[in-house]
Amino acid sequence: MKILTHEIGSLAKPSFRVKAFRKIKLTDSDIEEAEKWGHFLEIDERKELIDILSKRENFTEEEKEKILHFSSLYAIRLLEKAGLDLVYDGEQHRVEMYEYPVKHIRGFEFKGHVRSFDNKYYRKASCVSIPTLVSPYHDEEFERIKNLAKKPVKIPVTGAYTIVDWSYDEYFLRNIKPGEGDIREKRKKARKDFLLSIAKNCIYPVLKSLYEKGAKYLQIDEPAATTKRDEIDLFVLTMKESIGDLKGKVFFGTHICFSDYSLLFPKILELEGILNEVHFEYANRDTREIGINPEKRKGYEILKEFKNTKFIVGLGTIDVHTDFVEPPELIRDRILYALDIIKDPDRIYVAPDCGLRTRSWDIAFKKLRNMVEGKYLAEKEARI
Amino acid sequence: MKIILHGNYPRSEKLVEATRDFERGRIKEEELKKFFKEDILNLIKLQKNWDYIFTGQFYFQDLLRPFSELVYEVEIDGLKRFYETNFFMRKLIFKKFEIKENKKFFEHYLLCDGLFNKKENLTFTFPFLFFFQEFSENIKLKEIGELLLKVIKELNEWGNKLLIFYEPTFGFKNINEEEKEISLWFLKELKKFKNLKFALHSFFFDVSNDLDFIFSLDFDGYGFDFYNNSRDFILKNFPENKLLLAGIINTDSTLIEKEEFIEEFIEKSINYVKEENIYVTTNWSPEFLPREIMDKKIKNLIKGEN
Repeated sequence: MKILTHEIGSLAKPSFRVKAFRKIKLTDSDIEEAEKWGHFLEIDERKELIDILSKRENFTEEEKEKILHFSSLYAIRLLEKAGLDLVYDGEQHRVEMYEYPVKHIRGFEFKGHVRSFDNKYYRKASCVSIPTLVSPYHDEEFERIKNLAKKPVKIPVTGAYTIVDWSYDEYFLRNIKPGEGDIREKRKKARKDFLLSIAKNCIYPVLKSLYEKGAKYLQIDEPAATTKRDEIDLFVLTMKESIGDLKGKVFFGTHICFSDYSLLFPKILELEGILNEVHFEYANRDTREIGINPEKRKGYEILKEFKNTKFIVGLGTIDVHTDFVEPPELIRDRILYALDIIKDPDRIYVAPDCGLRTRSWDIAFKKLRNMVEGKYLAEKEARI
Repeated sequence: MKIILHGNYPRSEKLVEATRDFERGRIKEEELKKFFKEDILNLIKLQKNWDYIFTGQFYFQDLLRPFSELVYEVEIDGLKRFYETNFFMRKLIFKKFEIKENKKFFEHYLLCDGLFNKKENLTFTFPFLFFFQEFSENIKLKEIGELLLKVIKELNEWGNKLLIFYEPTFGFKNINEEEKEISLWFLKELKKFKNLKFALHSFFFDVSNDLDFIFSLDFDGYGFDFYNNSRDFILKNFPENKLLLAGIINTDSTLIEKEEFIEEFIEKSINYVKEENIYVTTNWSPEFLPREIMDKKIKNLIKGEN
């Protein structure tokens, strides 16, 4: 019996990786950073990287491929050195979680930028015909990471519900007339058709291909799961269709964050036996005080909903939106509090709240290292 | 067919890039202003001979933020999801409620630094009471009303304006009796301003349960999202001689509306509302679409009109 630790997806991309791909000239500090982390992470082949980076600009395709390889290797080693049980490369191969899959699905067209908040915009695509998969888009990434990692690998896959919710729909809604008497029912049916089409034609084949390539741990990211209160049933249906007959063959987790989780219950219980792990963000809602009473651990209130379920609880224990490095004792108490509710240490997997993309590597590493340390303290305290 | 726009208009790809460049120190403020100006002028061109000209409200980060500049001691807080969309607003935390004079609100946010003048027939979009409260803290519903009335008093001096109040809260959560009473008080106060017209626009949700209350609020016009509501249900009790803001341009979809669908909607609406009182408009704020698509939708309407 042991409490397992893992990450949740993204890490920042190192500046040498970003600039090389954006055709921005590298500076001394970018190269020094590559050397510093290479040394710290004990990457013996780093000289090869430094030699390539010394060119500073106008990298060939082959050189860019090498740079990508090293950014992936560095990220994997960072997670391994922090002591995580399951690792990944922090999305070094991807643009981000929405554009990347959509670019690999036929039937979508990018339409332009829309505001997310303030002056932050994202590129939004529209479904213009029946979505079909060009090819399973995470296979190559998985193969590369698997060959580099010394620990088991977990691959995140953006879920069907989130892809649909973040896209426009020109195809399934094409015959909807404004003001029709049954417009809401018709829209819901169109939405269901769109969701099932993505789940069956795109996400299932991606998951199946990863399974066939030997993936043992897959994480379905669904940050949009609770966006629409009356679509929780569709989210659950979409998850069932995405996993299909792969149920029980692979460890499936889902990650949902910054949402009203109460909306998911009781409907999500239909996914028991299909999903192994349900991971939420909790630390962001919690206090920073040490202790295992409910007032101190108010961010973990929703845990009671998991008490009598079969789900493994993916426990977000570090806040990804702040540079505050949680002390191991705080992580320990968050785990002990969860353990007190869930009872079974095998049903708790410790993780950050979300991907650490917005933190520097220095902060991300310190946070993860303390998370692992906190896990050991909790195991010791609970005599696991 | 008459057309009207409201909300915030989407920024062009060039302006989006310019705001990013400005934030990263790559361009100066003067250069950024040129991009804003170009976006605004292009929008004006679209609205030839319309009853009311929409400024686009390009300087609004969201519909609430400019109001934070009209009160002392307001904190702009973290992000909150805008109802059930993937757009987020920042909550306004009012430390105390004391209204202050601020010319910038009118000159910069409403008149876009001289691109519009006070005397024009303009339309502006403001948050209605419940929407405002949903995204703020430590401010009472009545205080929100007072803040809005302070702005409206100034606009009444300008004359000839249509103010459209956004209220997505209908159908999203229950409005209690006390809140209804404050809304009725607010409307009574609004009606004192004789140089302005006022409309209420609901969207996102099925508002059938709130319809009686909506119509009990004595606005000059009412707007509805007809991609979430039945035309016949909404219009069968539509008050006489009021304006209908028919939200039939779908900003939740990039699909350009079929002309026959628009025509059919208007033909059937005439059974309930005089044609001269119908304005075709968007169901949600235009900024849920990229600029190019939104422009295409408007041009498509104008083409149909001709």
